[in-house]
Formats: sequence, C-alpha cells, structure tokens
Amino acid sequence: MYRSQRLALKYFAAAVTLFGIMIIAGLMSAYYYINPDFLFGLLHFNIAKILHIDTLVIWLLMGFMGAIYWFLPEEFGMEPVGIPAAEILFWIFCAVVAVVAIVFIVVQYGGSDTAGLWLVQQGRKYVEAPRWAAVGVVVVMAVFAWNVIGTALKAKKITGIMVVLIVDLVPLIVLYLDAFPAIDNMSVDLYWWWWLVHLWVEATWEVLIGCIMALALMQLLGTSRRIVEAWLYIEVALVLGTGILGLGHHYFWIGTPKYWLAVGGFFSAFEPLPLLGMVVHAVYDAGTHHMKTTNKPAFYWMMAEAFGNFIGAGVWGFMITLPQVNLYAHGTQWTVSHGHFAFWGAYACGVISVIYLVLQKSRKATLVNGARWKWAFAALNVGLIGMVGTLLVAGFSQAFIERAIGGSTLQAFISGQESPWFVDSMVARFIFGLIFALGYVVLVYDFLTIGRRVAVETGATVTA
Amino acid sequence: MIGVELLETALLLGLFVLLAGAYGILYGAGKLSQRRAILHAGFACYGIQCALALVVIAFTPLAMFWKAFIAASTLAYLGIPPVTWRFLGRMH
Repeated sequence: MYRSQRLALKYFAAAVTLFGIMIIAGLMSAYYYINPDFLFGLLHFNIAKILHIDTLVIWLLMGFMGAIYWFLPEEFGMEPVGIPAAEILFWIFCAVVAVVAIVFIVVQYGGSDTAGLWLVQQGRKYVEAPRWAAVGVVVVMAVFAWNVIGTALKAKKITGIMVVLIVDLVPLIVLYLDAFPAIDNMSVDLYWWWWLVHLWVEATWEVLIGCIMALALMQLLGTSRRIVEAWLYIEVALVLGTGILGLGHHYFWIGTPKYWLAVGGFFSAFEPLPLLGMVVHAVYDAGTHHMKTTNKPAFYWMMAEAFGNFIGAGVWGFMITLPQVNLYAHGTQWTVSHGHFAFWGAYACGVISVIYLVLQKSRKATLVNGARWKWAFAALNVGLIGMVGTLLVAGFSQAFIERAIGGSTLQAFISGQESPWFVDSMVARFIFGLIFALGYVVLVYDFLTIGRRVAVETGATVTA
Repeated sequence: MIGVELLETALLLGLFVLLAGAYGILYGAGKLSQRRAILHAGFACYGIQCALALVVIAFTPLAMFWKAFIAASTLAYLGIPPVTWRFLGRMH
C-alpha cells in the first residue's frame, strides 16, 4: 500500500469520527426545539448548530480528501509528491478542528472586534471558524492541490478525470478565501458569502464528488475509463451550467437587484434535469451488471447517492426554488429539510460508498456483504427520510401560519412555532434522529469489522 | 399567494419532478427487462406529469414566465431518459 493510501485511511477515520460528532450535535440541536431550557446557561442552541453544520462540512471534506489520496497513486502509478507534508498537515488539520471545537464549546463567542474574528469565531454560517483556523484550512488545501498537480507534473502523464479534478481544485481553494472578509454591509457580505457556500456545494463539490464517483465506478463495477470520463465531462458541463447561475436563488431576498429573481429561479429550476440523467445512468449501471458485485454495500450506497441526490436536491429543491414559493419558504424548516436531504444524497452516500470500497481493498476482503451493512443502510436512510419528512411538515406549518397567514410578524413567528404541526414534527424529527444515530453506530461497527470477520474473508462466491 | 395555494403549488412542483424521476426509472427498468408493461408504466408516469403541468399552468398563481417554463421543461423531461439511454448504450 502507498503512503498516500495509508494517509487516506487516516482521513476516512477522521471523517467518520466527525460524522459521529455531527450527529451528536444534530441531536442536541433537535432537542433544543423540544426542550428550550436544555443546557440553559451552559451551551446555547447556536453553538450546537454551529458544531452540527461545521462538522458536516469538515467530515465531507475529509472524506473527499481521503478518497483522492486513495486513488491518486493508482491514477499516476507512483507515490504522490509532497506526501510527508500532507501527513504532517493531516495531524495539524485534526488538531485545528479539535481546538476550534473546544473554543466554540468553552468560549462560544467573542467581541465584534479583530481579536474576536481571529481567535474566537467569525460569526458567518458554515465558516464560523476563527481566521487563524481558516488560514490553516487554506494551507491544508494548498498542499492537497500540490499533491495532485505536482504528481501529475512529475509523472508526466494525465487522465481525463485528473484534468477535471485539477481544474476544480483552483476554484475550490480560491472560493474559500471568501471566508475571510468582514464586510459591514450585510447585503454585500451575503452576496459574496454565497459565492463560497453555494459555489462550493453546488459547483466545486459536485465536480469533486463526480471525479471520485468516476474513479470508484471503475473499481467497483469495472466500468471502462472511456465511459466514466465521457459521462463526467457531460455531468460537469450540465451541473456547472445550471449550478453556477443557480446561485441566484440565494439572492432573492438579501437586497440584490430584482433581475436575480428571474436569473436565479430560471437556472436553479433547470437543476433537476441533469440529476434525472444521473438516475437513468444509475438504472443502466445497476441493470447491466445485474446487481452483481463483490462489494454490495459500496454498490448500494452509490445507488443511494444517485437517487438521494435527485430527490433531495431535485425534487425538494424544485418545490422551493421559484421566487413566488421561495418568498414564503426560505429560512424555514422547509429549507432545512431540503438541505439535509440534498447533502445526504449528493455527498454523504458517496463518501460512505467509497469508504466501503477502500476498506475492501485495504483489508483484502474478497467479498463484502452480510447483515450489518443492511441494518446500517436501512436505519440511516429511514432515519434521514423520517427527519426530512418531519422537517418538511414543520416547514409547511411555518410557511403557512407564520408567512402566508401571519405576514411574517413576530407574533406570527411565535404562532408558527407553537403550532401543533410544528411542535409534533420536532418531536418526531428527534425520534428519527435517534434512529439515524443508531444506524451510524452499526455503520461504524461494520467499518471496523470488514475483512476481519471470517465469513467475509473466506467468502468464495459472489451472491447476486 | 394565500396559504393553501402556496402549499398546493409547492407540492405540485415537487410531485412534477418526482414523476419525472419515476418515468426515468421505469423507462430504464423497462428497457433493461425488455418488458413493455414497465415501459408503459414509465410513459404513464410521464402522462401524469403532463397532467400535473396542466394543473400548475391552469390553477396555480405562478407568474406566466414560470408557467411557460413548466410547459417547456415538461417537453425536455420527455426526451431525457431515451436520449440518455441511447447515449449510454452507444458508449458501452
């Protein structure tokens, strides 16, 4: 095994650990809605929510990096350049995440001065990390880019997937620099902040996961490079074509010019179209391979990625993307429902799929199957669907009672929050969150024991 | 837009895309299994999607621009599964 691949395993271990912390923080955030006095005076709701959201971003990012570090030496047939630096930076990255989490929990928030921005938190959603930590993230990402680009240069060869990846790494890093400015005008600040948040999630990350899935498909199903690369180019063109100007759906109500209503609504309404193409592709792959594979969990999670992305981003997104509906739906639990489903489908399922694939290879398991992954798959997906379903109902009640009937007054906000539809949905969401957490525990147990169970290692036949 | 119209419109839009997904899945499954019944079920989903598009256009308070968009995208959804399938078949 290459050093890069050993590093990949460390990144996956860190990602799965942060996934667990994300779930704990998510359960806490959900519980605050049921019992607002929870940890009163000790840990505020906003801190639990920050931990939930930020660990989501970091665990997925670490999952992506792990996947790239795994596939990189196989693509170029050599150890990536700069691996010693990447190994050191992995530990620094973990230490930075831990220190920032401790600061969030213990200090929570600082003053609105430069010291507060640099040492405590920046107060901007998704990028709350203080500036010193944000500088650390930039350094880690720069070394990651150097690992990829430098290896391509040294190997004097390139593949289509690697070209796409290298081109994607540039905006991935440049856009993150948007985490630093502290602009006084809120409209201007949000205008640029959305470049980071939207263009990471609906552009650069989409391309990144597209590259990772292309590499995984070749190993999992033996799909030819010619096919995955051709499909990757089409997917990238379609996703970027709709996703970049789809940015406009975040500009509807932040004080930007009126034309964004048409631009944002128009391009984001196109976003389900390429996702439908991906669903058809998933059906084609599943059918032509007769669902036969030596790694069923990786295969099923990859299928879950295609379908989850379509439903979470496509269906849930289309419900609220047209300005006339978005006027009532934005900022309610409805958008939270969409966010959970889309992140799960587009990214989390893909990362879990790659982890299964990598664990099979690293532990030399001839066959990965069994009951545990099925329980984990079922509990995680039932939990997730239950959460997004209940959040949707809560969002409906907010949009209906608070916005459409109440006219968005403070009293209407209170009425929406006290509605039985909202209150009961929050309780149900917490219960489904517990099911999701249970699925995570089984998933981790399955990860830890893959290839170490006798039944798996000696499995001689591939069951269809 | 009043409350009930808001929820009806949003649900119709969601269902509109969901039916496109059902059409795509059943179209693919029908082609793979070479069973006409499944293929027809896919086209039936597309038929329901068209009916939903008509409901959106006729009864929701969306602006004309968005209604025209729904009409145009209904046509686009019809072509995506067959075009994708043909492309994939040629690639393989």
